[in-house]
Amino acid sequence: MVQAPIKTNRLTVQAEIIAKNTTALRSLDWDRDRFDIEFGLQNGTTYNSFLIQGDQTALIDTSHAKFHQLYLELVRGQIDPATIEYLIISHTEPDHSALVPDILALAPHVTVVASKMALQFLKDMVHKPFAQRAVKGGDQLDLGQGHILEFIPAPNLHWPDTMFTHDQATGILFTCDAFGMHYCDERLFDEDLHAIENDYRFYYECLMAPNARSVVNALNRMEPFETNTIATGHGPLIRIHLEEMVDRYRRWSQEQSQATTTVAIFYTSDYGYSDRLSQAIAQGIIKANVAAELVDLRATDLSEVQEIMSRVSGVVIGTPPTTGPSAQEAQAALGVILANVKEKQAFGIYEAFGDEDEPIIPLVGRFTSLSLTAGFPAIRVQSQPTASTYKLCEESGTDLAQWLTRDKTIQQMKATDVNLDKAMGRLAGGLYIITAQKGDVQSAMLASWVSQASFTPLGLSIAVAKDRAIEALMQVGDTFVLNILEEGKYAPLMRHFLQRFGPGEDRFVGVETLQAENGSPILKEALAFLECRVASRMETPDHWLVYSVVEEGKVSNPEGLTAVHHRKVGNHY
Amino acid sequence: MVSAPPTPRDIQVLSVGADTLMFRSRSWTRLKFEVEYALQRGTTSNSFLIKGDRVALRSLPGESFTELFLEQLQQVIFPAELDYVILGHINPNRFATLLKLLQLAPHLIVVCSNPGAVTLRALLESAAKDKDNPQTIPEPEIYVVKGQETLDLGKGHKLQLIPTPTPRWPDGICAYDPKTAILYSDKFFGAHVAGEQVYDDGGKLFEVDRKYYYDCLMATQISQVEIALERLAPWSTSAQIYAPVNGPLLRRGALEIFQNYQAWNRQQATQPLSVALLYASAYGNTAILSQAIAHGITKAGVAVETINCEHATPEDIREAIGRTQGFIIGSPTLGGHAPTPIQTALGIILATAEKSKLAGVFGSYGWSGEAIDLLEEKLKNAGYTFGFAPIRVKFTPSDAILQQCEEAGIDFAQALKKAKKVKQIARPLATPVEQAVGRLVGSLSVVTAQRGDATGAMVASWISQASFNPPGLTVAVAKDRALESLLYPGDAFVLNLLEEGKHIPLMKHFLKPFGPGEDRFVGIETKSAQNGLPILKEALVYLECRVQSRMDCGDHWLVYCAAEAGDVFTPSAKTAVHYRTSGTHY
Repeated sequence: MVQAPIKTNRLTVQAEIIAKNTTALRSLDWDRDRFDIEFGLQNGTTYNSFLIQGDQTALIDTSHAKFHQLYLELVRGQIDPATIEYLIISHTEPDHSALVPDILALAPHVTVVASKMALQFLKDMVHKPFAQRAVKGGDQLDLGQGHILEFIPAPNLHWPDTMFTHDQATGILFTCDAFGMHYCDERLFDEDLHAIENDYRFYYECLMAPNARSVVNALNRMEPFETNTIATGHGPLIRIHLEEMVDRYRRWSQEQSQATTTVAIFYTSDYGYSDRLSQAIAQGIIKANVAAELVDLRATDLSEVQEIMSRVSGVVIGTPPTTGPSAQEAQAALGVILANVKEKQAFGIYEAFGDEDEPIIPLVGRFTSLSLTAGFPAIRVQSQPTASTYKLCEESGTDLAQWLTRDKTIQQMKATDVNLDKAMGRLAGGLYIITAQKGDVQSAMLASWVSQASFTPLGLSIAVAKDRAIEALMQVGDTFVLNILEEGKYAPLMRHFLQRFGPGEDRFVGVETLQAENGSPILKEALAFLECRVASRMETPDHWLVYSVVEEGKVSNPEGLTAVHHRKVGNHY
Repeated sequence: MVSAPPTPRDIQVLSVGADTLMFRSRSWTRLKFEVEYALQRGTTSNSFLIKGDRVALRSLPGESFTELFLEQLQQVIFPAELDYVILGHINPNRFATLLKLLQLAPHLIVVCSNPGAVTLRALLESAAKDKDNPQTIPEPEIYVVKGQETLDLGKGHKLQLIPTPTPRWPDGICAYDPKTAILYSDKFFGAHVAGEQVYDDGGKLFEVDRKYYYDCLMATQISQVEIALERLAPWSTSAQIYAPVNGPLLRRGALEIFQNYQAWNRQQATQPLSVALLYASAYGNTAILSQAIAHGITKAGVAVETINCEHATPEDIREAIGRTQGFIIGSPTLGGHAPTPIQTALGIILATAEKSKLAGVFGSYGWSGEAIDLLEEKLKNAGYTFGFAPIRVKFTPSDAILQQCEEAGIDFAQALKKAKKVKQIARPLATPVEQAVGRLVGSLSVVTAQRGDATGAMVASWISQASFNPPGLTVAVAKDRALESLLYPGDAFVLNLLEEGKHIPLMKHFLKPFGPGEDRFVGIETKSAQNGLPILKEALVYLECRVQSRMDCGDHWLVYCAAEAGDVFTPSAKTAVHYRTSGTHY
């Protein structure tokens, strides 16, 4: 991945026939301008909408507001918008539904087809009456010429009101967010699995893994439908590697649901940054091998909230709105949560940065007075979230999860064969500090599981625990610096970087640094530094093995020796 | 390696398309010692029955399945109803099954290419002469496929026949059935894996096996593989299923494997150095040796052009010798002599090959190896330099012999690289970045590995812990190391960590150059680990490891393994650490 220089964002559109009477209308958004965790791989995204022209015409979803003009022109180029009979809304997240009011204006006779919940949400977006038809699982809509559409509910993938649409005539399943990825490319289909699989996995972890149970339910519901193509709302359509990609969803979701500890994260969809911030926290929790479950306060049955509270070990809440359309539901749900908490549960609160936030301090007080333990300090969000806000959320999630699993970790350490453990301890390594910078996010980590891995190109491998904050900055294409510590001089640096940093805390206060060419900090007191770029990664049960190519480097003291870390046992670093 | 289940060989019969049945003859354990089976995952021999208005059988399993196969076949069809049998690979092993089948179905027409027909007639003739085993020898009609032709079986099964000759299988033949969209791809895209799984479901499950199969069988004959791919290309996208004769069928990874084959071929084609490997084989043993040598050469980054002298024209041989920087010639000894095709090839070499070309000689024999002596003597007298000492193998090869051949191949390639100075130009001083990489330190260790009677050992310092639960570690191993082939997922090895102050003698011992196949443990005290592998008594620590996965890292593989057992011999001592000043050497 090449770091894109700062420039105006490139937006293009594309219309292509994908099956009989069916056209994909894709809005291509090439450069990232959002810092949500889900866009972390920085490969842009696409917003996909679809037109089916049987005897009657239906449009499935629209596009992001930034494509206002481009998208409407694209639609006009295909069809006279006034002749569109149905507008099918798979879910009401603004990146797909922002242009609904415009389509309604151009097609006054259109009927909006959506789940009951989505119609409810739409009412608050459109503020005008419109013809509508609420559909539920099993309902059909016949467009003629064999295009019998059937609807399949898929709640929480990733919005509460999500539904899939299946077309009998073409065998296409329209899934919107599910099976998508943030990957912008002119290729319409998933031809190149190697190119897209990282993005597919990353997107899954951000948006789907926190709802793994719902994913399994949706997979079961879609099974009876004969499908040859999954038309997703983001990225390439899935056709060539269909079975493989669906299989991966099933496998990953089953792995998620095997975790024994779960944290519920309550958020309010379409309110402030509640949705995005909650995802970042979920991401941090999942990294520490604890399951996360995202629950929308404005769309979940109170009895279900009660059930969730009875089985989770931790609860995270984004400040809900006190007034506005969702306030009533959200406040009622909050009441049920408070009524059902247990002393052993850990909790965490973050500000949603909507306009009507419940004040955060009293809310924290209500949980502490019920004797719950704070898994992380309340996250204050005073301005529009940036990359470092999301990083803070992610680290907070990991802290909470690690607190929940601390006993289990100790148990596991004790379970290993003693002799083997001692033998593993004799694998000695050098002492290194990895420093990384991506946008305005910085991180540092002490490492000793490092080794050279190749001559041509010069490359090295590093094992990074999955729940380390720095792991997120070591995706394929990312750059970092490996600082090699010097025998006899390493102690102050080691002590500094071993202290427990709070989420988001600046790791470099009081340490002398220089800036490397790749932008990451070089520690002046180190023996040598290596500028690296991640080339590939391999997964082990609890660590990622990161292979990186060395691009630059220098020894500062040719007389010095690398500091070596000798251990007696292998169950700690 | 996970020990193979003690399952007897069997045949799975199932439908894979309209009017199409597959017979998967499964061998769970390794059939023979050949490099291609070294991953020890068993294999399947896939045959297909296509019932249009006329009935065709595609491919037959070998002799060990003859009875079982005919039994299964007769459950679904009367043999007399069979019209054609389409064969892509005729050898004595498969001929045994064909002979029994022909006795049941005398009107069966054998469809094969011309080299196949030649082999078949010879086999029929020698069976008729076999006094020890008198039997009725049928005289089947042989239909010789000359180019791309159609064989219409009716009901839409218009089989498109596509001859795909290669040095290893001069009689190779593929077929495409438009009715079922199955591409019968013969040896291409195969893998040696036995299991319940019929298709390539489960993503990358068989990726390692398929690449290994390519490396062993295809990488050494890329120009013919390239031509075959071009011939198959028109059907590569319309085919829903690729059906090779070995291993699982491909449906989701079909297009991907086709592209991979093209990419792997390109990779071989761009190697700066290449070697011509000429051989003839009487009972297949010399061919097996040639394959192991070729595997070692390609591993070390030198391309191989395999030439089966029985099927190549003098022109082919002359051109190949002219194109390549080294040649290796292998021969069986028949009645005290080298067979005529080898004598012809030797003549061409002596007449045309420049003296600067590196030479190699090998062969297998039953009683005496005169052919190998002849080759060695003639080439030596002509003034050629040898890349390895001549390899003589009596009867059939074993694991240790295959390893010796592979190591000889690696030595040959490295000698060639040295001679042609392809190695990086020696730099007096390491660059700043190389010096900085040199500051990465590691523990000194010796990796000991074993498979069957093949053992290996290597000094390693690019090692590191990699996981807590299970306790795991990584070892980086150069792609051109002989030991690399003993470190596939499932393989076991021992990591011996050396002790500070006591490490020099062990390091010296294992760093000295060993000849191909030489025992690395002479003069070293060892004992057996639980997994049977050698533990060095003079080490500080041993760890019994099992390989889990591998990642491609430039010129090395990063091998991740779980540690299953281990102990420290001298608790008061320290691990020896390896300090360097440059990252350009170990």
